[in-house]
Amino acid sequence: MSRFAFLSFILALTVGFVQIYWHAKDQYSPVDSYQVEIKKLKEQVEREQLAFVTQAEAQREFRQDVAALMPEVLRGVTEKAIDYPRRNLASVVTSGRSDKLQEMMASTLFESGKSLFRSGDYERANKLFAKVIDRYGYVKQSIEAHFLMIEGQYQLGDLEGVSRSVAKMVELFPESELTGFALLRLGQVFEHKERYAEAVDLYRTVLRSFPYRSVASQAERNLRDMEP
Amino acid sequence: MGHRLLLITTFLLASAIEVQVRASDQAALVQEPIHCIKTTGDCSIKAKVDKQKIDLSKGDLVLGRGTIVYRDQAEVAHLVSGFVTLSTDGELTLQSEFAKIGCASECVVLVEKRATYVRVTTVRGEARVYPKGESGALHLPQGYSMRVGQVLPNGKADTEIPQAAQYGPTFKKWWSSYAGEKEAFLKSALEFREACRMAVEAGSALHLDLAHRYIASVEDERRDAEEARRRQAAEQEKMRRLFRQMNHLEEP
Repeated sequence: MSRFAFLSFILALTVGFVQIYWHAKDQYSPVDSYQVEIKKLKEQVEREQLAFVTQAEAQREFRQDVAALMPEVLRGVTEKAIDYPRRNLASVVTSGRSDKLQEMMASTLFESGKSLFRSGDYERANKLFAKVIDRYGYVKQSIEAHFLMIEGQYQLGDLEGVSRSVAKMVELFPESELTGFALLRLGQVFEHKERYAEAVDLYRTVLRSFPYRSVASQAERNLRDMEP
Repeated sequence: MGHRLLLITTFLLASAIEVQVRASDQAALVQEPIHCIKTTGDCSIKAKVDKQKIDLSKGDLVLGRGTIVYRDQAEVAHLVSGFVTLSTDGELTLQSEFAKIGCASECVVLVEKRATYVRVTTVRGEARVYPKGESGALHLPQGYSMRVGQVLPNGKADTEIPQAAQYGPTFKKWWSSYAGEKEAFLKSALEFREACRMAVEAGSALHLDLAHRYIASVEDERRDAEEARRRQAAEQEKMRRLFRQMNHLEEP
């Protein structure tokens, strides 16, 4: 056998063994498959990091674009700054026509409430009176709405509600005749709760503070009824 | 016979080695989505080694190691970070956070993106730099370099005056992102060096002129001050003489 043939045989044998070795390693060794898996995961992480960096850059670029536009936007702020108080004022100050419309709506609600009150449906009536007070507190029906709501609360036995509403009425309309009547109703609430001394004080206060004959005579009658 | 067998076996071994080398070459770029370079639409690319060339329809980009670029839906290339050589005949532009970079005609531009600025250096032709907030383009001739920073409160990017490029550092960076033949690179580098030299000379002449003007202005100021002092002394002397005359005093 020549030397070339021998060398070739040895090399062919080596290549064969190497091939067999690689094939066997692929087939039976789990290390390679893990390494492949690790490599894939690393590549995935790299790609995810790249996507994140790219997104962050897009945001930074957008921020610079916005910064470049800001002076133009800020130049328009002066006019807008004037416009805003103007709009704000317009939202508060309403036209005469709008006032009349609101009065009409308040009147409709109040009349509906009064109708329910007359029919004895105090609960629904009070909801409507509360709406009139909350939405249209400045209309002329507001005092009556307060008074009728107190009456409704009294009829429903909501004595705490009566106390709260009377206090509010005294605060808002201290000189109204209806406030005097409401205070008399509060006196009756005190009588119910057997707080007679407070009731007497209240009737005397009404007698002193309210110059209306009807209120005064009612206060006197209530005081007389309390005498033993 | 044996000789042939030896050759065949050697060929087989060499082929196996080449397959291994090619496999390692494929990992030179990270792409998201995977293999997106050849498709259209969004594509983020990161170069893991130097001299990674990306052919785009309007020109090509060569990325340095660690450089990240992305291509958007409109096929516009954006430089996120790192160092890029932009070669185009005028149509390709490279967008960055602070400025857009393009060319009027055929040119080669080196663009380096950092966190707070982007540096543009023209190595061939003439670059057009569009800083954010500026309506027009700034012309950057061969051998010049400029820096564009973040947008300032006036709505315009902080733009530096173009100045002569530094040949040494630029040469090294350019080579790290040069994908052509070495001979062609050396030829271009020589041209660039000449352009840098001329830019430096132009800058020097400008600075010399400015220095001369400054010296002349200082000379003028000194002469004016001397004249004023002389006039003031003469005035004082005149007053002293008048005072002596009025009080019948003798000259000292």
